[in-house]
Amino acid sequence: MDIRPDVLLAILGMALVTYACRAGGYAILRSVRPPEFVEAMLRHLPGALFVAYVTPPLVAGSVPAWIGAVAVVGVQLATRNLGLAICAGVAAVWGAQAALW
Amino acid sequence: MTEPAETSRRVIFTRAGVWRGARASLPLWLGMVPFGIVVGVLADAKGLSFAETVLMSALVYAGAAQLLALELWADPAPVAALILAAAVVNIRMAPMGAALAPWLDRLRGLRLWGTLSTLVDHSFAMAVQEQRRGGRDAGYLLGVGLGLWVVWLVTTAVGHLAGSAIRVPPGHPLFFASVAAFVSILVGLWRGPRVDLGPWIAAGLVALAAHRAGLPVPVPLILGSFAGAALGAWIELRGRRA
Repeated sequence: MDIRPDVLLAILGMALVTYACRAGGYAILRSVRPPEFVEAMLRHLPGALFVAYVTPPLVAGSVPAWIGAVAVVGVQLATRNLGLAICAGVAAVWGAQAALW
Repeated sequence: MTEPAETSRRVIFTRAGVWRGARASLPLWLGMVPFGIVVGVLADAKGLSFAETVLMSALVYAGAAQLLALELWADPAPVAALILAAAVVNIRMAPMGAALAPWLDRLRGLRLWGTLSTLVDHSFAMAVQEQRRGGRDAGYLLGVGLGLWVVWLVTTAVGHLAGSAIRVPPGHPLFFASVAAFVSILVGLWRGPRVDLGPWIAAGLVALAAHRAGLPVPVPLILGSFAGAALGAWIELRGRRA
């Protein structure tokens, strides 16, 4: 049940920058209009970020990872439910690994 | 921002509005429960204690950022990399508060800055819908945010307890959950090939190249994100001027 100092520091730092995004975004963007290019970049950042995150593991990943990704996309499109899509992806990887080995 | 000034002048903040928001968050719980449990299980697998896991959920309260942090996790904690990664993931929240200005501009003090601390993707989306329906009670935003915060705390705590009970070995299919979460978020973000295809390919290729070049985490992630976002912005602005 203990909290290590390095972990506490990481959590507090993450909490601080996250609050800065939540509240600072409102405080700054309502008074100052950022350059058009920055506004457009902010709109594109989430998609680019998640693609940048999933590409290396999926490219390095084996066939089960690809099957899992296809299952996630299919279930997400069909149900629009994040939790169900995650479960379907894990189940597909599990099943594919069991079937292939 | 498109709300007429007359509507925003009559914005209120009531306990009833907070309750209505909390009740409206109920259908979203179904989607959050597995996500929270996955984050809890992974936190346990990465060696975080129960107290550390719950503290992170309570203070950071951002699923994608927490999941990414756990992917980057090491012992001792790479503090600077974790903070940087959280900032990059959560910068998407910055424009949300500005978009809710018709409500937020009418709030002061703790109501304003406290409500902002509960802002997440889901509460933003629900509040925008409520605003478009003509809703004037800004308590609704806080209600949805608080309702989801409670679920997030409980589910990550349950996930951690479950994880320590079953001990997930490395390489287990469960670890695919984080990739799965981000892939399903991407499905929702997709706005069509003309807007997203080029930027997404650029983001993936740059991240992959940086990863292959052996650059340390989270550098490939940040390079890929900004390359993709910059290309997207460039295409968008060029298209508008043409």
